[in-house]
Amino acid sequence: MKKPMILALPLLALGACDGMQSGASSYSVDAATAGADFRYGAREAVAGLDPVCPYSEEEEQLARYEPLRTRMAALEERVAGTALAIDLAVVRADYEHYWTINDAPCGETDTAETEGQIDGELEKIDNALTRMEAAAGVT
Amino acid sequence: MKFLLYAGFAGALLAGPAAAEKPDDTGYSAEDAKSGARLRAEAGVAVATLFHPCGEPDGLTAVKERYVALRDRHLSHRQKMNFIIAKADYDYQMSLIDINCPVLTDDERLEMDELNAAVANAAMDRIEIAIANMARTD
Repeated sequence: MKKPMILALPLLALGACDGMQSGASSYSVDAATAGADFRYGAREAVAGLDPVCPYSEEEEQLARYEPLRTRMAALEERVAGTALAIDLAVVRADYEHYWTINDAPCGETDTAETEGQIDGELEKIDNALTRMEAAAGVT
Repeated sequence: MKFLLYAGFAGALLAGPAAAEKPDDTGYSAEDAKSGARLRAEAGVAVATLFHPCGEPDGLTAVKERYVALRDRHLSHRQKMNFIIAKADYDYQMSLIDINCPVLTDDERLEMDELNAAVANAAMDRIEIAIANMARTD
């Protein structure tokens, strides 16, 4: 009786390793449907924090994004291992795919309008993060 | 004999409920999200054309049937989830906006249906390619 049990343990361990290697996690139809709200915010946040055409190259202007980047990183840490982490991966993959098949001629950086443009961007990202945080239960 | 018994036990473990079904029956990883990006993008185009909130005209019935058959055919969980995500995202976006549906003449409707059918069919052709490519990496 003992021997089959001993044999079973390595097999179970192998099964666990296989799941970890593939990165597989449970992600149901219900989770994908419920995650639409989070993904909607994430699309705005990901695009805003990793813009294809930045408005500025000046450190002072770029530093204005930092508090929002920190907030995004905290949120990412909070949802790690949950269905929302998959939703975030979906959004990042979609964003990357979009820009592999599309091209954007970027405009001039650091013009007279840049500060106002960044103000608008920061507000959009802030709203997007607020939507994501609400979906993730962050109060 | 003992070896055979142990082998049988091991086989029973491996052939339990998880192995009897497809191994990725509930799994969908960040890697799957990445490999499914193309499929989701094309499904998003088809969904926006075929499930428009202003109504689904009779002229698109056959095209919609093709989409439903494509979505519902025997696919792995990870392939199917990309259709689910694309539809969920479209439905969510539509829930956030007010739409004034245009009133079309019969000719305008026919022209619109032909255009939408062409767009949806082209997207579905690309979905077929994306699924074939994903199947090769399974």
